[in-house]
Amino acid sequence: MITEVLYRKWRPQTLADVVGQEHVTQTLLNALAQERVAHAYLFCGPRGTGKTSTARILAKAVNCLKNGRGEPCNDCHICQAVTGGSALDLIEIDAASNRGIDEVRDLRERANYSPSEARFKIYIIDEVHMMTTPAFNALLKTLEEPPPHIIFILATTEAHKLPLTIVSRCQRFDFRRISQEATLGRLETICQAEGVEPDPWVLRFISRASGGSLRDAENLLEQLMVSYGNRIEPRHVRELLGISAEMPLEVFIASMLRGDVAESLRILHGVVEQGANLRYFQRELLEYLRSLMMVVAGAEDVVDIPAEEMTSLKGLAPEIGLEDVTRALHIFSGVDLKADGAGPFALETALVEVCLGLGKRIARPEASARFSDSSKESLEKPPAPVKESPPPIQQTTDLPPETVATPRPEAREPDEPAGPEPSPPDDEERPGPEPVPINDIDVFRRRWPELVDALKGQGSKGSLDALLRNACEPIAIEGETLVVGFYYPFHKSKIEDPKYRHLVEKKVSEVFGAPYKIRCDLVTRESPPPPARTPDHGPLVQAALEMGARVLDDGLEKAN
Amino acid sequence: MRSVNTTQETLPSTGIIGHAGALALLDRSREAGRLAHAYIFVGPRHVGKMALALYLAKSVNCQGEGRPPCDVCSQCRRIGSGWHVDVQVIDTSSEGESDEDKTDKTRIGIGKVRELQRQVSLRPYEGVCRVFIVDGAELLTHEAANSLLKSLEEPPEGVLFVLLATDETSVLPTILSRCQRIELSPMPTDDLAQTLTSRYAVQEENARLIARLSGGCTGWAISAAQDDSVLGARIDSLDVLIELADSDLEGRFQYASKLSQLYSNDKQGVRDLMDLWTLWWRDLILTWAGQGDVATNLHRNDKLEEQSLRYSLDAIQMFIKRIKEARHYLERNVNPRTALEWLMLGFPEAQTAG
Repeated sequence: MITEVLYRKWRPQTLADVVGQEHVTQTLLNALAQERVAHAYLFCGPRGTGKTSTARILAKAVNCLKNGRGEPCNDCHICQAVTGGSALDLIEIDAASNRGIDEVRDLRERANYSPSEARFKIYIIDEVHMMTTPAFNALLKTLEEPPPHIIFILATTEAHKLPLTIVSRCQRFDFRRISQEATLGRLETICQAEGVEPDPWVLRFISRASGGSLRDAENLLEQLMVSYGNRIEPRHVRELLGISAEMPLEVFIASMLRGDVAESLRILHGVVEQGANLRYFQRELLEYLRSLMMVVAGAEDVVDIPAEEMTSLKGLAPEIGLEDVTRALHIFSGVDLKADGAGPFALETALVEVCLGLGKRIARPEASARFSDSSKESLEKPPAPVKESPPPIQQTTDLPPETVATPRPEAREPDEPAGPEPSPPDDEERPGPEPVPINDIDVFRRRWPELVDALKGQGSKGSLDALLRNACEPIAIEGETLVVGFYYPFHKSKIEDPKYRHLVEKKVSEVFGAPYKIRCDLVTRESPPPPARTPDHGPLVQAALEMGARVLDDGLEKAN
Repeated sequence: MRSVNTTQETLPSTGIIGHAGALALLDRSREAGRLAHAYIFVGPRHVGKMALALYLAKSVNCQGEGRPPCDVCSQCRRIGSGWHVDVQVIDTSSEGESDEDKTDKTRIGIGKVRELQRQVSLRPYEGVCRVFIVDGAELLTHEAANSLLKSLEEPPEGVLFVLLATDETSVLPTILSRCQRIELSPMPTDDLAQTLTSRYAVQEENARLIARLSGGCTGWAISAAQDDSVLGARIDSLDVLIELADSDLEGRFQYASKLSQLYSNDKQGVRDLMDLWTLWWRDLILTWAGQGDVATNLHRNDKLEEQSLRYSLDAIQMFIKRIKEARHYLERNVNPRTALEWLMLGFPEAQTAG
């Protein structure tokens, strides 16, 4: 049921088969021909470029019974044993799993024995960068002067992690990323042999997308073959990679660099709705921006793109500043779609950032289009998913959608740091035409300090007055209830404590001659601490107040 | 190493929601006898990676008649219930051989991979094929990932690796290149909403809300559909976050201190909250730009409207960045309270001019 995947099935078996590493294979062939094979090699290079494969081929080539001075024959029993993974004299070590000094000691001990059937005993140490430092050092002597029948081949993707003393004892070969043409050629060979007839565009696309790793390319081809059979067409590739959507890049970039946030967001969501792969979108976008940057900078001959794209670029270029494109390029290349969850969110913020950076004033679109009718419907019958959460419903009715149309009515009231619940009392605080006995509350306000002073020495620590001083003000009288506005939740919660509230209520009735109940609310402080009740006095009056004066004529406050 | 944990199997065993493309690919590969020996499923949390991995494990081991997985044969049922010896899940909580593995619960250490390698060399015990599911390929330590490479490239016959990854970019490229990569994208929210209504009998409006809040990740959506409190908790915490806008600095600091206490017990909880909040501000951008229809938190569009009027686009954008930075600080072990208070200090001022 499980078969060999392409990259295993098509592992090259001769040096000539190894794709795109001629500088390595040719050198090795020469060495084989002259019987000057070194005792230690280091193969390094990116993933999927043929390191392990070349190592195995080399193991065959030196031991091959038929030839032995060039390509392996792949026919003799030693070659076949190596291919089949059963050769006794090829020891492939996974250095990432056997990375300690003990494993190296063990290796050194065994290295002294002669090969059991072949000419050379080959040690392939793969992922060698994961060995520990003591292990590396224990290997040094053996690596420098191994017994004559030993060949070491070290392979790694991260040669920079090896100690220099290791590197200098090996013949080092750097495997290169495989060029697109070479990948393409290899894919064509595979397709022919497998009886697959892909569209030429498909193979070109795969070789471009593989980033120089043949294994990645073969994996992609494999998925396509499995999914879509023998005739692979461009739309299949798009389907598999989730890039079926049309990418309206030109319009997108144009509206973005115009500073039209709404329009570009709309385009982006159009793309998302089509189920596009966002990382692909990002990559295409970057490509396009790069080309655009080149064109704007006047270096259009550097860009290698189809003619029609070029005309669209040229159409776009005159309106656009080099600085803006470059910045957009920078911002979008910094978008890490994986880190920010799967949604288009990261692209959205990047887009807004680009728009904001244009130095233009970004106009807010007409409010009417904010929520469509359909979603308003859902607003009117809001979800009542759980019993515990009725608040959303009530608040929805508090602020009907009609306020949407009017630009910014009360919406700005809570601008100033307000209490968490800017509810009714907050409104009554602002003296208005409410049926509140204004005179009374003014009396309270004026005589409030007396009350505070009277509370001195009360409370458990004798400091109840401190809780009221500069921390609150009477704001309204509702029947027999005195509403006291506190600036901070801390003080409010203290006074709300029944034992303190009781004390305060007692004092209130003493000072004002009538029993009142106290209700506490959070309010916004209207002016800097000391005279909280005189927001609009001039500096002179203010100073006088601080020195102990009292305002006798309320005219000022009433006018206010 | 442990057997499949049943709690992760949030889907009913009868089927997988969405991912038609991935399912078709796997089915076709199996029917054509061309399954690869190593797959990596890439997708956000709760999207259904584990469900798909179990589906694959069942279908290769199924002994029932008809199209596998039948979900009735003993193999399928044993895999589904987590008792199958040949299907094993390696994740951060599984036991490894070394002490290091026992202490570090956030990564998958080399000890666990060594144990896995030992198991890889054994023949299947009761099934046809041994399936190793590595839950969190990005959580493998550097050593662990590297030591997995060779087995992953050329395992013995009858071994199937399935790696699950949330963050593909932190998976070693050499690991990625050895696997067939299958990307699981979140479901379109409309489809998900429909499924929730038809299969889980969720009311239509609720289904829409759940689908949007889940961001298309079926795992979360289903748990929310089955358990009201999941959605309720989310709505409640969002309400608190929304209220912060109307609060003063003191209120915000109080919240910050509450959060920092929560952080010491439940890091993921705080991360989720920050994500939730980020989503809210993102919705503000969308609303600002007249794109309210695609916003996530549609149930509060009154507040969305109100707050989007209150802040300038610039301020919203800056604060989103700030949340991200604060998250970053938290990950870097900055004192959580300091980080969160810093975040609160940056709360945007309401704009004064129209």
